This record gives sequence, C-alpha cells and structure tokens, in this order.
Amino acid sequence: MNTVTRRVVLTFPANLVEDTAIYHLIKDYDLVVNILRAKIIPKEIGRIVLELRGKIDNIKKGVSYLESKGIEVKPLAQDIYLNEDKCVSCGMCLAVCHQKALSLNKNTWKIEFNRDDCILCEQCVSVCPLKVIQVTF
Amino acid sequence: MKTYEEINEKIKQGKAVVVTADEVCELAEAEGIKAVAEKVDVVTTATFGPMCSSGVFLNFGHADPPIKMSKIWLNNVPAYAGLAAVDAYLGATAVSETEGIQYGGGHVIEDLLSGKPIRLEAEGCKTDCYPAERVSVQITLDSLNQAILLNPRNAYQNYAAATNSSSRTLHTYMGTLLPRLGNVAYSTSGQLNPLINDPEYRTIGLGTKIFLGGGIGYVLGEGTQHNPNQLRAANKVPLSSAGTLMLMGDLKQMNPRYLRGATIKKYGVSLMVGIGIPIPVLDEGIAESVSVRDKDIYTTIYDYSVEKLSRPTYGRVNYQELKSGSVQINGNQVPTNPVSSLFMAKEIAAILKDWIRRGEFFLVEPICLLPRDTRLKPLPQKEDESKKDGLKL
Ligand code: SF4
Ligand code: SF4
Repeated sequence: MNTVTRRVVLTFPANLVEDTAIYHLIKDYDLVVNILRAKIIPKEIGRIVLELRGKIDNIKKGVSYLESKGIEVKPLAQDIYLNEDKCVSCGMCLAVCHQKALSLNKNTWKIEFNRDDCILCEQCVSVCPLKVIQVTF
Repeated sequence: MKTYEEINEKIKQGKAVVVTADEVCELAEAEGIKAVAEKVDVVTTATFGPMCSSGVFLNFGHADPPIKMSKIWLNNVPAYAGLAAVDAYLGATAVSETEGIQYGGGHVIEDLLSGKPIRLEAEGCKTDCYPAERVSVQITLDSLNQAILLNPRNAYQNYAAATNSSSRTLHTYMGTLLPRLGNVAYSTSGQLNPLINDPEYRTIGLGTKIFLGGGIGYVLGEGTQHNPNQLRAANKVPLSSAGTLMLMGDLKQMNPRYLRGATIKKYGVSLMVGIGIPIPVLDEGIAESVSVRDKDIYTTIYDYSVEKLSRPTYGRVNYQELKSGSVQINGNQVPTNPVSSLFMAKEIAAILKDWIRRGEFFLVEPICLLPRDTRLKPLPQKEDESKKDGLKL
C-alpha cells in the first residue's frame, strides 16, 4: 500500500492533553507526524494542524483513535490568505487576531501575516473592511 | 519669512526644499527650529482612513426621451435625487437595498473610479418637458459629464481613541472593541496628520491645493463639526477631535488605490480616503508647528461602552505610546491598534513631496483661512423638554 500525506486540523477542549495522543499516533499507527501549527487559547480551545504521513489505513485508524479521545478531526481544507496588494495596512484586523499572526511592521507600518501563528479562527475575515483576507479552500 | 510666490518660484526652478512631516522632525531634532525655517520650503502631511462624510456629485447626461429623475439607484445603492433632472449626490455610507452593508456608496465610488460599469436605475414623474418615467442603463465614469468628489467632513485634526469597559465585544466605526478594556483603537496619523501640523490654521483654507484620492483636490473650507474650540496643549495641538475640512476634486483624475469602499463590521459602509496637504514653511512659527512629534501629540481615550454623547474617559496618551503597540490603563498594559493607515499616509506624503520637487504641483494661497471661533453644538433636546422650559418662562 502506498504512503500518503494528509493534513488535518485537531480541535480539542483545553483540558485535554494532546501530547500522549500524538505519541500514540507515531508509536501505534506507524505515522510520521509533523506539527504544522499548534495554538491553545487558555481555558477555551486548543487547535493543532498536523501533517500525517503513512499508509492510508493507518491514517484512518489513527484519526478514529483521536476521535475516540474526544478530539475533533477535520481535513485541512482551508487556509487564510491575505491579499497584500489590496491590503491598505489600516490595522483593524489586529484587534481580533489574538495569536498575533497579523502584525504591524514598525519600520514600514505594513501589515504582515505569519501563517505559522495562524489558528484559522477566521475572526479577521469579517473584520477586514476591504475584504482582503479570505479563507481559501 | 517666505511668501507663497517665492516658494512657487523655487518649485518652478526645481530648487524648493520639500520634506515630509516625518522627515522635518528629524531635521528639527538635529539642527533646530531656526534651521527648519531657513532650509525647508514645504512640508508634506497626509492621512488615509475611513471617512464617512464623503460622497460624489454626478451628472448622468440627459436620456432620450428625457426623464426628471426623482429616485436614483446605482448598483442598487440609493443616491440623493432632489436636484435638477439628471444630477445626483451619492453618499459614501448609503447602503445597498439588496446586499445590505456588504456594498454601498463607498464601493460604487471605488468601482466607478476603477472603470467598472455601474447599473443606473431611476424613476421620475411624467411632465411635459420630461415624459419618461423610468430608465435603466449602464454608466461608466467616462460616460458621466461630471463626477465631483465633495466630502463634507474629512481629515480630522486629531481624533479620540476608543476602548470598551463592558463585558461584550462592541462593533464600532473604530473597529472591534474587545470587552474589559481589551484594546484601544486610535485613528489619525499623529505627526503626519495635516491639521495637527498647522494647528492654528495659518496656511489651510478655501483654495488650498491638495492631494485627494490620488489626484488633485482643493480645500473648500471648514468641514462639518469643525471644532476649533477643543482643549489644546501648550503647543496648540488639540487634545482630542477638533478641526475638520471640506474637500473637493474631480473624481475622473483620481486613482482607486487612494479611494476605497469599506464595510465596517456590524456598523456600515464608508469610504477610505487618501489626503495629502502641503504646508509652506512661511516663518519660524510654522517651522515649529510642522516639527511637532508623536510624543508631543496627545489624545483622549473614551469608553465607547457608555451609550451617551459625553462618554467617560481613561485619560490622555500620546501617539508615541499609541504607536508602540500598548498603553497603560489603570495600571494594565492594553494592546493598541490603528484604524487608519500610517503605511498609506507615509506613501501619500512621499508622493506629494515628489510632485512638488518635480515642479508638477504648485502651492495655492487660500482665499480665506479656516474659522477659529466656531462652536460645536449638540442636537437640541427633545421637544417635550423644551416645551417644559417654555412653560417655566
Ligand atoms: S483590516 Fe484588512 S485592509 Fe486593514 S490591515 Fe487588516 S487585512 Fe489589511
Ligand atoms: S484566522 Fe485571522 S485572526 Fe485568526 S489567527 Fe489567523 S490571522 Fe489571526
């Protein structure tokens, strides 16, 4: 069976400890796990974006295992996209980006988007007055 | 002492010394105010942000058979039709009758300027000279006789900062205000702001030639809600929202990069406007005014969760603090975010500087300066209350 790669988003209540789950994914299901992003909003939710590589059956079993632990697993079908040509760097989106994935460069005063810090909460999408932040599928 | 004529002569010869309001601060710091007065001819100031009190006068040309338009929609956004047969005023905050605040007057203005076709629908009353009752056509910026941007209130001289002490998120024209003093939103470009650099209105008034929306525009005079009587610091800079400008310019020569339709979440439609104003350094007093820096420009933080005209405040902060990313309120560090673009303001100040340096833009001396004595009044109290007062008399 071929080795495949799948990207998934895990959402879990903040009281769940996710470390052991990832350990089991590697150990019990023979998957190569790459953590692309991990963010925890204290007392609310945690969110991890994983890249799983392995046999398709093992990926499916691994996902079932995560779900049995109360973790919601969704395929990473979307991403945040900032159209830098259209963005005017007004700064309105900064108010809602608690992860500071969107930030102001203090030298140029241009808005910068750091994908690695983004947890796909989508708060910025409706706040941007020019609709230049989009969820891409 | 310099005159407008002398400065324009220098511009013509390519000898004028032009710097931005950011750059002049560095020069003042290094060499002092006297050197600024001697060396610098023009300082360029700028601002870019949502300015709701904006709009455009349009003349569509006459239909055949003619119609006297009494109701007008542009891409389903209503425009004011209480003018002559084919004249209209489209306000930036007018809301689409089909799409709500996702599309409005500000967007129509940007789309027109971008060359997109716009659907014009109008209704009229049949009269002997205007027999048609209905028209539905596509128009473009080129097909219009006139498209004149006329903004009743732009370029606020300073603006109050906003926070929210309540337990729910507020959606305001200052953007999202997070609960429990979660953020402070501020507007204006601080030391780049046009009227902050000319706090006593010595060079700005009717006729002042400016950068407006990427093209040429003019100051018509005081804007609505002009409030020169705002409290001021020792350097004469107001401590909160104060003076305003009414501006006009031919939309046809503007650039859509500097006029952007905006939808402010759960608030409404607006138009982001880019403005650049040149200030001639006529004497040492003006040299001092244009050298004002962020750390010497203060504004007041208001609590937007209190639904009253006069809101409680959380004291004053300067723009250096606001731009640093956080300010102190009640001993806590609170994150700040702008709602107007310093990035675009810097770009506009640099473009205007370039125009003047290349001899493409000359200064115009205003015919009359902005008033310094008008008072800002609230709406009169409810009728029943004024009647009560009347009875007492
Ligand atoms: S709110 Fe939109 S336009 Fe403004 S800085 Fe953020 S992404 Fe850019
Ligand atoms: S979706 Fe937007 S607001 Fe949320 S973390 Fe990503 S950039 Fe920030």
